[in-house]
Amino acid sequence: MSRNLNSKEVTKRAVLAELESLRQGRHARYQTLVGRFARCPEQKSIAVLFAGAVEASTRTYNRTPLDAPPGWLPPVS
Amino acid sequence: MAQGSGLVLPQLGTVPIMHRLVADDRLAVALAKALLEQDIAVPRDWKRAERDPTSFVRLTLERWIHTHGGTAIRHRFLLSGMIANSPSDWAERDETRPNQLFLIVEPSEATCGCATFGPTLQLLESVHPQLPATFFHLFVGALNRWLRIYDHRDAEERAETLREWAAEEPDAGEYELPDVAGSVPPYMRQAVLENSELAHVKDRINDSTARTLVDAVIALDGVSRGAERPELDDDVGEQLSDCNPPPPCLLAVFADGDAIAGCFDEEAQGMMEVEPEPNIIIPFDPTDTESVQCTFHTFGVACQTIAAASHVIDLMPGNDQWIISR
Repeated sequence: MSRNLNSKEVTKRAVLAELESLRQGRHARYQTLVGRFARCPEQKSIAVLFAGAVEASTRTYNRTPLDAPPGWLPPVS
Repeated sequence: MAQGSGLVLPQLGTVPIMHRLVADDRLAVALAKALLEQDIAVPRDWKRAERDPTSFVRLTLERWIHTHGGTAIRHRFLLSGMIANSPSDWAERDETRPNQLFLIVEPSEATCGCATFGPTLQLLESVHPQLPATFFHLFVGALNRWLRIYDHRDAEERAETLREWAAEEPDAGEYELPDVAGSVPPYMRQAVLENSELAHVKDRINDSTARTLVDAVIALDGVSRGAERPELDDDVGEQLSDCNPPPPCLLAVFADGDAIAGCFDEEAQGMMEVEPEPNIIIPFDPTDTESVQCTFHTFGVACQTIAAASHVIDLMPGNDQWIISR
């Protein structure tokens, strides 16, 4: 009986330790690029800002260039 | 893809069959930890959950329901319990409360249980004229603390609404409206016995079925008072402002197919037109161990109350039908 109790207590401590490492973000599952991103609010904010900037620039520059009239100089890139 | 033993066919045996994208399980981790610290969760479930906090919380919830009368609940009720970060599917998450979760109970598949009280109340009337009304109000009062019951009072309200609608029509006299008052037995108009009177009456019951029924309903009342249903604050109320009222989990009729059942069938057609509120909503903070313990205690009392109600219905004569799961 006491051995069972000890075994349960040992398992409980091990699980609590693993959960604590998950809580602190030290667990292996968070050591991937996506895992680090998912836990970092700054990176998420930057991604949102960047996506917004890309969308805004798409709206601004998403124009179909017309062919220059014959005889005009080609555009300077 | 894994190497096959044949020449051409590949094997899929080692290919993972499930992938889950976890954007942020911070609250699930906090909740799993609190549940384990409070011995609400069982350590060996961590392996069964494949060391995933969300699965671990789900297994713990299932275990908690099972140890608080899950089998009896499923016998007569079709409910689902879940933990979510908003009080309803329609409600948006309150970003000002990043640590708030909700333990929610609602009917699954829009199904409602049913209990027929007529034969039971007739039996109790032969013991004491006030016992039927006392039994009915003890049962409904106890269960209504946790789940919504549709009874003759809801039906009377519905019938009144129908009467008002019909009165505005030019051919008002043509409408056949449900006779709810006629479906309510006269003994239901008797006053309810006080606790001391009930104890006195109970001691004089000779019929064993009647005594068992009264004992069971008193026990149900006691169990339901084991915790207070939490009050929802204005912010949660705001989140639920566009929802319909909670759908009933039990229909209480006096006879099969009476006017109360008719009103319920008619009213039920519109109950799911808009997302309804869950029957039980318990807001809590998974990072606060005391809050988690209190929430699971409250939820346990709710489960035990529903299980006790299921047991009382089993004892009530004339209720061999309406069984959802054996």
